[in-house]
Amino acid sequence: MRLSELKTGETATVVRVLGYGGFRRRIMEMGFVRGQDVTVILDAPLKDPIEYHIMGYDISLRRKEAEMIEVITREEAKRIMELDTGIISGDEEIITSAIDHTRRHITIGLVGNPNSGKTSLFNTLCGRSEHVGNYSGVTVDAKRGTLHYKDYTIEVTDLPGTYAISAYSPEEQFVRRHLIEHTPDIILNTVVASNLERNLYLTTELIDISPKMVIALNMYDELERSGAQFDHDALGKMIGVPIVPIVANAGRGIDTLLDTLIAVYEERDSRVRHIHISYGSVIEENLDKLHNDMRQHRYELPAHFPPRYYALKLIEGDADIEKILHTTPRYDKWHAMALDARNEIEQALGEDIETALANHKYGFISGALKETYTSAERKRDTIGDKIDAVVTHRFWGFPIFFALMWFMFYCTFSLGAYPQEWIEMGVDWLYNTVQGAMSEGALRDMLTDGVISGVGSVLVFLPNIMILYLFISFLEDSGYLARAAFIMDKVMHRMGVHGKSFIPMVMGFGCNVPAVMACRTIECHTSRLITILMIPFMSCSARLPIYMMIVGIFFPDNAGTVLFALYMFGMLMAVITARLMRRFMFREQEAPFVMELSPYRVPTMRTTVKHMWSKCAQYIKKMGGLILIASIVVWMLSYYPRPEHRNDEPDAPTYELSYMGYIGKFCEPVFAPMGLGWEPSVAILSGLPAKEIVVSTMNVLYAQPDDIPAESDDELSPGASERIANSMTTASAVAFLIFSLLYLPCIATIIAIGSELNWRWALGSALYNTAVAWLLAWIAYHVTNLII
Amino acid sequence: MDWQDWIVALVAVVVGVVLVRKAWRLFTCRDTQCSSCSKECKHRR
Repeated sequence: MRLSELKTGETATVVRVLGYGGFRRRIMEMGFVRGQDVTVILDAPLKDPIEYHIMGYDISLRRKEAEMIEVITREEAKRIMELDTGIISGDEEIITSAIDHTRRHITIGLVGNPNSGKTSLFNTLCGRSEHVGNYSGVTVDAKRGTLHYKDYTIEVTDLPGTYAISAYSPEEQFVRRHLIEHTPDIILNTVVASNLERNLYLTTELIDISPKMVIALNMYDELERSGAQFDHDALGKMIGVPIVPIVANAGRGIDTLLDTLIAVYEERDSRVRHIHISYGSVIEENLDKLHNDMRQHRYELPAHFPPRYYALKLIEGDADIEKILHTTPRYDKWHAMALDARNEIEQALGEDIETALANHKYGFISGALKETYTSAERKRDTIGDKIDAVVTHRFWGFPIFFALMWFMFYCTFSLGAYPQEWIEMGVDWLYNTVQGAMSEGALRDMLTDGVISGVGSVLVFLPNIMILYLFISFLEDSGYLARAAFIMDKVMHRMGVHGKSFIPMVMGFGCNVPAVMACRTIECHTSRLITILMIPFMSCSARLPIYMMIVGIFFPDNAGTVLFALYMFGMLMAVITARLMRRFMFREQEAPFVMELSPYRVPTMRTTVKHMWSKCAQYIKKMGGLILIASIVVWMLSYYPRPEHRNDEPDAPTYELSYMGYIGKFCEPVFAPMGLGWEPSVAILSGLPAKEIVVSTMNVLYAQPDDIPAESDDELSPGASERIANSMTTASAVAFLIFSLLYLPCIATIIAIGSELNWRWALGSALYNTAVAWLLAWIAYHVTNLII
Repeated sequence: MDWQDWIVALVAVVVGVVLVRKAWRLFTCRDTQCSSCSKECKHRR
């Protein structure tokens, strides 16, 4: 019986807690574990919550939570033992024996598409001869049968055949109601081996519910005869559901199926885990808002399904779920949020929500099957299939991908140059206006040299970043980026990360901050962690001005080659980092995940621009406040103490005797082994808030008052270039480039890492990057000295 | 000290307070959610 059925003053013993992961864990943490006695203190009819006494504490549970706890009373235990075994043991032992007996009773809900051999399987399992027909809708209501296997009593309920478990047809409603009201221990999903794509659609719906599930891959002999290759074990691991091939009417594979069911029930099967199907960025963003709100008020939700499922179904407009949630206090708010989300999604995608969700589910199935299933005769029907045949081709896939990447970067830098110039002009205008409007003083210098120059030097890269994100959003929304991740999967696995890590790594070329955030799409914890720590090695657009400055002075004839080598070197270091981490820190084999291959679509201008803007807004928001503060701090350190307050050398250059100068000189011994003086040391330090600042600092440090001024903050004045050329050797220039490439990208990235992982990893990443940067710059300095 | 110096001093104090607050929250926060999702802190939400 269920705990909610107990009356005030009655005592029973907990047998098990039903429901999904998060709810079960919480209830069990409260003390509702097998064998514990629980007494009802107060259960007023129609009143919520009910008060219980367990493990010496009084605990209140909502009625719907108590419905999910199976208990047994002493009377019930006696009856069970008498009926089933005929043995009446001592009063103390009777409960233990009854619980053990009940524990060995497994309830199974048999769910599958019409005509998927469910009833055949049911008959084979239970030895009954239900009417079996080769047409849809043979099972009109649920049939129940029982079998005994290895000390277990297995109760199977054959549910009506359905293609989904929404609330569109009576069968669908019936299946979902059964799952809610009877909460079977395990769902046995029958899937026809010869029609995987359509049958797995129902599986994706069941995955969302997150129960314990086993897939019976029926009519496996037909698949074998067709000559198709199917790695069902790999697919099972990917989706976290064990798959057992069977031939139901011949009784083949039934013992393995039963053993698997028991192993899953006893939580011994390592393949079982709950995965989320990714519905693409538009749906996920909107789903997240409602899901997060529901998670925060999860105690108001019925415990039968996880909050994500409720959120998804509410957005979908599922009438049955709306009815279930109607009594919850926050229903009106959730309903309004779901409506907003649905409108937003439908407007952004230009299709109704059901179609969009179905497309993503089929994308998930398509991705899963592409890795595990090879059909005997390849059918290429749709345009999407034809495009896939080219872009994911063994030979053509990579050249197409690299050509697209090249085009993306080319446009980022060549097209971005125009708006960059306009912003530079705007910043200069603002600088001069403020300079002219205010009287001489510390505030004017702070506003011009600190705020406007500092923030302006970052703002100037916004067009490049916008163009880069426009491309990334376009490729993502069109469905190509998922294919790119798919073809890169093998390469990425060799590095020790997942194919999905590839997208954030590409984004890292634009800016490391959103790239770190983009790692949220990687389900595997270790892969996400390794990818986040790889990203600082991806040379972001802020590092480009530094390369341009040094390469322009020291390697003007081979600028392109040196630039390319630097980018490659950064990637190489990222790969080495990943390999080292996988080798020494995270040795465990990561669970495989499905790479969703959603259908191709022509992205709408609105969605692409919106996506681009949301990513840019993250960049501006994260960087904006921090850059402003950092610019002010750097300015203060380089401005004070003022010459008039210095007793010793009032006429000496301001910068050298500023706090920044002192810090630079203090750090000089660290950089001296690679031939760098105090000026580059200061420049490197000033790059901590944003690496673009390195160039403007170098400009300030090496410029003289009578120099012709530089054209922009990111360029050097001709005089400064000459002085840098004289003060640094080629070897120290190489060391400076490598150090700039590898040391911690910027404080914003470190903070992003801190918020995605924790501050220890953020600090670790900063230290690791800087240590690697120093070591390799030192090696590069000495090797270059030997060569030249 | 002229009026501009006073304003700069005020800005320095504000920046100092912001940095100390950020650092304090960054290092003292223990409000994490779960290992499978990105760890979120209520201060940073």
